[in-house]
Formats: sequence, C-alpha cells, structure tokens
Amino acid sequence: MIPTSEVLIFSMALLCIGVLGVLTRRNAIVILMSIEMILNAANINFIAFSQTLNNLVGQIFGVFVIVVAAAEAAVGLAIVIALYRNRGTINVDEINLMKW
Amino acid sequence: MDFTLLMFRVLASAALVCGILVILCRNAVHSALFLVGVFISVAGIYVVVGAEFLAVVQVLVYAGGILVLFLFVIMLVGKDAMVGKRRMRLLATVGTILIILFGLLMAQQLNVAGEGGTTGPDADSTRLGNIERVGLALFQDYILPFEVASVLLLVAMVGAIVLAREAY
Amino acid sequence: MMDILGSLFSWLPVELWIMRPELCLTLAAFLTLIFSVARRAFQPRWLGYFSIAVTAAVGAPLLDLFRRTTELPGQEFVAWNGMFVVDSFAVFFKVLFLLAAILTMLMSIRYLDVEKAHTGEYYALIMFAVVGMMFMVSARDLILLFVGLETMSISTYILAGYLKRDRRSNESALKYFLLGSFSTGIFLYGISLVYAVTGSTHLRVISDAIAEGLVNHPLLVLGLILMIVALGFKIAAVPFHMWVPDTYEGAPTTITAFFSTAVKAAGFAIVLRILVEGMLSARMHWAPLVVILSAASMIIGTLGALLQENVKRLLAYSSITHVGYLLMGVLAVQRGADTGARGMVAIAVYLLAYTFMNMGAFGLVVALRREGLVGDQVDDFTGLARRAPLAAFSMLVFMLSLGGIPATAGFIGKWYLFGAAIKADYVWLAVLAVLASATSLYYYLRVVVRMYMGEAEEEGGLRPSGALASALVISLVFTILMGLYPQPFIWLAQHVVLY
Repeated sequence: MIPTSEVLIFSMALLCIGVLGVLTRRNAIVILMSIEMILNAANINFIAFSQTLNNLVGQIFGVFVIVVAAAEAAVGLAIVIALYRNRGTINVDEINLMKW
Repeated sequence: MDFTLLMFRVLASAALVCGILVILCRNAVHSALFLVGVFISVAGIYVVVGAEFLAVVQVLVYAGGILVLFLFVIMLVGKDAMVGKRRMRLLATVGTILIILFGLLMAQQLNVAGEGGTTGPDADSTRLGNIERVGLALFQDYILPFEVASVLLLVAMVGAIVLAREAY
Repeated sequence: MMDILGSLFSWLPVELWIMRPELCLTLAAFLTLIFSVARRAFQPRWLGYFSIAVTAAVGAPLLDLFRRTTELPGQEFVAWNGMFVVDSFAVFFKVLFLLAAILTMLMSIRYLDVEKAHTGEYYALIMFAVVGMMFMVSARDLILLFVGLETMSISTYILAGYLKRDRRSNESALKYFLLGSFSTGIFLYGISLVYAVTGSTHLRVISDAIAEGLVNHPLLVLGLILMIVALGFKIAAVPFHMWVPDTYEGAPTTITAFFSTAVKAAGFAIVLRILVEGMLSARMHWAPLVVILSAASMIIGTLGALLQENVKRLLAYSSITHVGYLLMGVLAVQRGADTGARGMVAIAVYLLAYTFMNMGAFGLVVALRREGLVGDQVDDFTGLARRAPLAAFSMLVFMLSLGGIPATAGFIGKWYLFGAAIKADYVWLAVLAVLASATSLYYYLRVVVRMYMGEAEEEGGLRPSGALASALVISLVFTILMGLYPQPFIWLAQHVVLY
C-alpha cells in the first residue's frame, strides 16, 4: 500500500517541475509541455485519492482533465503555428511587439 | 516493503527524473521524448493504484495523441526553434536543486497532513471492474459535464482549424 | 408571446427545461458553424445577424427563469445529480453574458469586414464561450464548473488570435493561452488538494466538511491558496495581471471588449460561487489574500494607466483597477439576503454598469477603425469633437462614467461598492479606492481633452454601421439611464443572492 504522504510529495514535486519549466523556459512548445506536467500532477492527486477515499469522483475528474489537456494542446499548438507563420520564431522572449 | 509501494517508488522516481530532463533539455525533440517517459510512468502509477481505465486513457490520449501533435509541430517549426539558451539551463539546474530541498522539507510536513492513510486497490471493487465502475459513474451521475466536454472538444477542433489554416 | 415560447418547451423534462437558454444557444452555435461552411449561400454578415437574433431570443427563457427564481427568496431549480443549479444569482449573470455577447456581435460586423476576416466561426465561438460561461455560473460541482470554465477559456484563446495575419493578435493569443492554461493547471491542483481533504467536488459537501472542523487542515489551506491564485489570473488581479495589457491590446478590439466585460463577469461569478458557497467557513484564510489582491490591483492598475498612449492598453490597465474595486465587494459578501448581501448587490450593480460603459468605450475604438487606421492611439481621438460631435459626446460620457462622476452609471456602481467596503470594516481599502478613482480621472479626462481641445488632422465623420451605432446607442442610453434613474437596476441586482 502507498502512503498518501508519498503520493502528495510526488505530485507536488511534479507540480514544481512544471511551474519551473513555465518560468524558466522560453520555447513556447516546452512551456506547453510543462503545463501538461502540471495537469498530470493534479491528476495523480485526483486518482490516488479516489482510491484512498473509495469514491470515484477523482477518477471522473481525471477523465475530464485529460480531455481538457488534449483540447488545450490542440489549440495551443495551432496558436504556435499561426505565430510561427507570421514571426518565424516561437521564442517567447523575442515575441515582444508590444512593450509593457 | 510490499510490491505496490516498490513499484510506485520506482515509477515516481522515473517520472520525476524524466520531468526534470524535459525542462533541462535544450532540444525540444528530446524534451518531447522525456515527456513520453513522464506520461508512461504516470500511467504505470495509475495501474498500481488500481485505476486501469485512466491508465489506458492516459497512454492513448497523452502518449498517443498529444505527444504526436507536439512532435509534429516541433518538426514543422523547424530546427532553429528547437535550441534553447544556456542561461536558462543554469536557472533550471538551480531550480531543480531547490525542488529537491523543497521535497525533503515537505516530506516531513506531510506525514502529519496525510493522516497516515494509504492508497491502493480497494476491496469493494471486486464485484465490478474499474472500467465498468468509471463508465457507469460517467454516464449516470456525470453525464452533464460529459456532454459539455463534447462541446468543448468541438470548440477546440474548430478553433485549431480556424487558427492553423492559412486562409480565413 | 411569453406563453407561446413557454409552451414550446413544456414537453421537455425538467432537467432540460431549466437548461433552455444553454440548449438554444448551443443549437444556434451548431447551426452557425454548419451554415458557415457554405460561404456562397450564407454570407458571414447574415450569420452575424442570425447569431444576434438568436442570442437576443435566448433572453426570453432567461427572463422566464428569472421570474420563477425570484418568486420566493431562495427559490432554485437543481438537477443533474445536484451539480446544475438555476438560482437568481446564475440567471442574473447569464443575462449579463447575453447582453455583452449581443453588444460584441453588433460591434463586430463592420469591424470584421474592415479586417477582411469575416467568417461565421467567429460568431459560433462567441456563442460557445457564452455557453461555457452559463454552465460555469450554474455549476455547484467543481467538475461541471471546470468543464464550463475551459469551454469559455478555449473559445476565448481562439478569439484572441482570430486575426491570424496580424502579429499583435498572434502574440496576444499566445500570451493569453500560456498564462491561461498555466492558471488552469494551478486551479486543478488546488481542486485536487481540496478533494483530497474533503472527499468531494460538490461545493455544498465541501462547505459542510469545512464547517465540521477541516478548516485549518494544511492541505485545504494550500488548495484554497492555489485556487485563489488561479482565479486571480482569470479575473486579472495584480500580481497575476501581466498578460492583460498585451492580450487586450493585441486581440481584436471587439473581443477585447468581450474579455473585459463578459469574461471578467464570469470570473467574478465563480469567485463568488466558490468562496461564498463552498469556502465561506474558511473566510479567515482567503480574506487576507483578497485584501492584498484588491489593494495591489487598484494601485498598479492606476499607475500603469497613467503612462499609456494606446487607448486599448489604457482601458486594460483601467480594467485592472476596476477588478481591485470589485474585489472589495467580494470581501463584503456574506450568505443570505439580509445585511450581508450588500457586497453581492454592489458587485452586481457594478458589473452591470461596467458592462455598458466599457462596451461603449471599446465601441468607440471600433468605430475609429477603418482601412489604414487602427484607431487605438489616444492621438487618433484628437479633435473628434469637431468631426463627429455625437461620437465624442458618447466617449465623454463613457470616460466620465468609468471615472465615477455622479449622474453616470459608474458613480452608482462605485457608491454601492465603496459603501459595502466601509460597512465591512475595510475603511482603509475604501479610502485607497477613492484615491485611485480620483487619480484615474486624470487619464480618462486626457482622452476627453484631446477630443475637445485638439485639432483634427482629417475631415469627415465616422460613419459607423447601423449595428455598431445601435450598440453604441444602447451603451450610451443605459450608462446615462443607470446614472439618473438607478432604481430598476438596483432592484434587479438585489436578487443576486447566494444562500
């Protein structure tokens, strides 16, 4: 049996890796990958606790999270393609037509 | 230490190592490949905790669908978009060390927070398999969000086509 | 008329009957999508008129539901395993979304022609966004709330990047998408921790579990903090506002107007739903965070707007300031219709006023747009009073209203909001808000001064299309009406109560 504290440590570590990726990487596609890892971290909590609590809500939520992740990836990559077509770069640092 | 706990620890470590490599790699293709590692390890964890349905969906949607999409776009935007900067690598390395320290700190805190509960396949679920139970819940109690999710997928599909095609 | 429409749906089972607005709008969006494939037969312009007509028609079942839910205090219809609820709170917000969507679509028809980007999908996406908002304000379960939220978000990501040949629009969409989906991830992680502690995603069950003594559970507090951070991104509160100026500037102007009214109202609706219906017992944990967000938004929003030469950017920063004001209302919110509901009424009145005046201000930017002129610089307004006195006058009214001058809608909204903050013992926050709105007059009046004092470089009026003109007239009339005779609007807002 898996102690819940270990599940939480694991999911939090994955969350932190994802957040770090979003904050440090400048390639839009890798940022998107980091966001997918954050969604996975949330899903691990939902599904592991679904078994601990012995109710299925967490697993149902997990299904919807995966649906949303797929939809976001599709739209996000379409935005990246539209941007690349106009700008020739997907580096977030170089995308600064508008100043702060 | 029993087998499920061992498996969980192995898979979790694999997922974390792959996750760190995703944000450390300068080449986006390598990042994508390590991301597969994360997804497969997480799918393995779902099997360990007894959520087979989610494990299958995870492999099909993430490793099968999303990853292919990522690779496709990386190839499309070309080689120059794949290379990151040194500066960021240093930042990410420092960050990784911070994560490990944070994890060790949390480990002591969470033994209190986790209430000592454990997780694993529950005994009551033997009558129906995991897939049947998830399916019944999804189509009986949670049919409304399921239907709204179908609208969401339609929006995403239309949107992706609208944005990615060249003409209006 | 009402009876005919009522009998049209009477055969529906009650679960679907209370979802009439959502069903009609989804169906209309499907039809628009199908029609938009046949471009020769159905011009996008006509699809626009069709979408506006349907969206307006959806108002009828909504008003019927409003009448039914306000018959008795606390009257509500619950269906779908307790996760979909139609109460006066939800219906009020749905009316607000419809209003914003109609005004947006009215402004869009000529704008998209000028941008040479007129397709039917645009209108379908706006309607899908509204459907998502409607589900999220009616959700009492975090699963439905999340799916509705994402339907809205994904539609708006696409709409932000809709002018795909415009670099600024691409950039706007990318920034909005990356920060939006990042905040979605944080939101989900927060929900997962709350679920881990309480064992449910239903807001009422969560509320009971918190009241029964889980309130200081460290994981619950962490989950709550993460959820507030994510909601801060969605409503654009400082320090989670960095995407706002760029996204608002780069997105198509009509969509910027939609973001700043409907999307923001939807964000506040779920903030209220989650914090009041689910987390009121944990108020001591979230109230300090909301105080910080509110004060920071007022300060940074006001300072940021002072320097802007671009009207869309100026309105973006001003919208951040307005989020700061609205968050004061969240602090004053309590459950039930008695004294505690003051915060809720204040937020409702303010959002109503804000929808009209902000839509109007962006409408003027849309009206300036023509071939070869984006029309979003403050300089583009120079001397407008001589060229187009009526347009200049309406911009004057919208700017004064945004600044909160008496006899305009904005004043009524601020009066209620600041009063609610003072009654809730946040006097220093109210003082800060008064200072911020006094300072904000400077940058609103800067536009007015340019319009009335400057010399126009070109001749000729604005010649807006009929649809755009009607959107401006609606906004203008309601902005003035709400300032001079606010009683009916306040009566409407008094029904916005969560029990």
